[in-house]
Amino acid sequence: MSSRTSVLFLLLAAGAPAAGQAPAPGIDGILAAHWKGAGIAPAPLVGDAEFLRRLSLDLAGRIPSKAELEAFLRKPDRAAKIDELLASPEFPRFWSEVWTAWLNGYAAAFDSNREGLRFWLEKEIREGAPWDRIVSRLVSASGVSNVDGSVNFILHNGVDPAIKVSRAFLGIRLDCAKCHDHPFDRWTQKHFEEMSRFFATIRRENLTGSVRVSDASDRAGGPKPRFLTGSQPVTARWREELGYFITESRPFGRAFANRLWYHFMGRGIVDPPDDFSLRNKPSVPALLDFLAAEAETRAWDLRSMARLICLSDAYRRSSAGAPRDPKAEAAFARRVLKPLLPEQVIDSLAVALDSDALRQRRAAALRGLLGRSFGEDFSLTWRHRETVQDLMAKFALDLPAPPSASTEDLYLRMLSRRPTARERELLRGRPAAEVVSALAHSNEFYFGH
Amino acid sequence: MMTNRRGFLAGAAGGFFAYALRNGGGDLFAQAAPARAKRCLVLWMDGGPSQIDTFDPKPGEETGGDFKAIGTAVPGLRIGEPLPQIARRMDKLSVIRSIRSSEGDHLRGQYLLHTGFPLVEGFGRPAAGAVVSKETPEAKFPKYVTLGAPGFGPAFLGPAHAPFAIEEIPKALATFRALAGRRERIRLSRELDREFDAAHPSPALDGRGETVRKIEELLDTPFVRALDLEREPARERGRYGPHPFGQRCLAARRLLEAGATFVEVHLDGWDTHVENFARVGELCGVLDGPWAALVDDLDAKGLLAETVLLWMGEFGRTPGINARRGRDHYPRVTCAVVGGGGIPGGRIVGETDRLGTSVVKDPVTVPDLFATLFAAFGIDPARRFRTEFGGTATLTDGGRPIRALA
Repeated sequence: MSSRTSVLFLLLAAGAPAAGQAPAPGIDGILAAHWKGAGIAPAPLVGDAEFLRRLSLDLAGRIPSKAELEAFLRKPDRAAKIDELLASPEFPRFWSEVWTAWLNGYAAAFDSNREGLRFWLEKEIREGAPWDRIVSRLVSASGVSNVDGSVNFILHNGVDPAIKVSRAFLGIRLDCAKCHDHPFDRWTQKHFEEMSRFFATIRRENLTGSVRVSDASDRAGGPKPRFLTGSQPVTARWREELGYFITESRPFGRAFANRLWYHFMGRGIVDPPDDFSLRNKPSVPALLDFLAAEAETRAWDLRSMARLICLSDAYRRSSAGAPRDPKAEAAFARRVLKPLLPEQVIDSLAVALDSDALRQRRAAALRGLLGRSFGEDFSLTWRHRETVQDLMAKFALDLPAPPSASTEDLYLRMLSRRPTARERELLRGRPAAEVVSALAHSNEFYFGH
Repeated sequence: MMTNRRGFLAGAAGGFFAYALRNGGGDLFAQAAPARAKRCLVLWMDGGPSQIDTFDPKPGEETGGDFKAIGTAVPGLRIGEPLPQIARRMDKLSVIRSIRSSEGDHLRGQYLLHTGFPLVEGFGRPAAGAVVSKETPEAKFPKYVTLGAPGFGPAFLGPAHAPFAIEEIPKALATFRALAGRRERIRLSRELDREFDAAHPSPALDGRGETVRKIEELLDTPFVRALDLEREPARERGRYGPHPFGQRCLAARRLLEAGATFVEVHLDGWDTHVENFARVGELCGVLDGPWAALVDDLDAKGLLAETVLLWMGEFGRTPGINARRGRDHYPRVTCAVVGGGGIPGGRIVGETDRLGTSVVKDPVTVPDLFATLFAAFGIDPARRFRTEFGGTATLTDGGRPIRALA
């Protein structure tokens, strides 16, 4: 093992803190210490209504209904609400969409079945499959694209699976290393080539309307693959061993914890969340260590991690405050705004307007919102990527007739609050359809805050 | 922030000097001639057009297929017989017969011929249209428009330079008209947002506010009127024919006149693995008239001198004819046709061997083709951009403008 490789090995393989250490101080303790050291004053905590809106968007992929809002305000039991949403069928549905956008993007694919992957993920999440098992299966999946949903990840990312696998599950970008040694990170072209070897056994067969993925053992000749830590497979089942190497490595836990944090907070501790590198350090290193250790202790359980994060004070920091304070945002002392995902927009409108019609044409409405020009992974960054045409599609979306309702009622339905005196004045005498349309296109509706 | 054509030429500086050096001193004068292109129109042949049946005919050879070669307006230049109207206008267009590409997969080939770079997951490159949109003076409407397909994105150049993709012209027009009727609501949304925006200063809200402002502006621009083909006199419309491709060509011409800088028009169906000759014949029948009308109209309006016309697809097709009378993917010999915007017509760049199986003279790379296009606009092909993650990216993958077209 070269000295370079051994340093790498130490970096990657050093385990979680040894047993017997004092218990970690928790998310809020770590952040409080960090803010004190950096002289950052945290934003106040939000009220119950805003908390519920956040939580519903993050766990169920939609805003709360007026009835849910009223019930929660009567009895604001946060822990109970978190558990209720985690147990609802909406949770696996929404998170399967989040993961699918992350793994396969939104672009139309020629040969992979995106919905097949999403359906498989929904089932796994519903059944409480741990993240390490999900990832192992995605990396080593074989079968027929229209039957075995998990195979569509490797199919969709078939050109350079090593790049996508490293980004998605380790937060490591080997992209540059494909053509040359990474200019400012430790990854070399050799790392890329050795990682790519893991996928050299893949065989694709085109069936009618489907693709079969399998491993051809006769292709396991030539140089053996090598994982970034230096580990090499001992059997001919390279991809299965890769799944093991990945899920046992230290970057795996960090990437998972960071991804979850990113989805709940709108910003990764390492941000963008799939770019862990020497140049891109975590904004609060102790928090990342803590969450990664927790993820492992909690056996890679998505719901358990969601509960941990959503119950923290950090999750309830307000996003309001002027002037802008990027330092506080990076330290999670103030929340960042995040544009709703297209799925969240449609499902929130359906709840707000109580519209089965919108639910029924969800797929078409989604396509309309996605815009044609961006086949990219929206979830990769919350940063605003809306084109003129994307926004036109939103403005042009025909909203279902609103339930006959007062301005106050529509505000509760759509923005989870009552209108201010100024807003009442602006909207006085306007028909409900116009109020609905104006609110649906407002920033307050369109951004998570 | 914007380095436009003028800044580049006046500033000269390292980029241009380096560029001249790489091209050999002899090219300096040719390249320093004032760039003339202000617009570009791409006719995109989706699926990969057969070069032997169009612009690199091999009559009488075993690979030659069903079509004869016909003479053109240019002595010595012969092209396939299915394009008689374009043949008569080849003095305005040059044929590049020697592009060597390595991407034989549709998506990867399309990516390469739209961006000039091979597809690398996670490192997106901007489409040429996005580059031209960024490097030409600002306008009040989208400058990069695709007609008939979604087009390729702006990558690190940002959403302001994304293609405005019009799949069906009547639908797009209907959307514009619907929005015109909703202006009051859009304005009301902005008004209601005032308190929220003040409490949440953020680049995301600024970006969205800017996009809304652009939409409101756009509704009043000639862009919308250009899409309304009913405004075109019936006789003029007729020259572009009833086929959707012809209508797209007409819309493209109107958009270019209205001030769009980069318009891409799609004609799908060139993936002729089966019954190549019947299908190429039909496709050329769809293509020939509208293309000729475009050349004539742009010329008559004085726009051809400043509008690059570029015909291409994602790759060439096999000289060999398969058992189903089709031709398969063949990136090794890819053909393009270019003219206008200061790029001379009537020339032949490169040559293939007797059967058309390989390039034997003046090979051209895909990056060279893009460098030629950018140079026509006065954009330095070696120009560097900062990507959103802080790295730098050059405009072309080592491309150099094609000398024979200088």
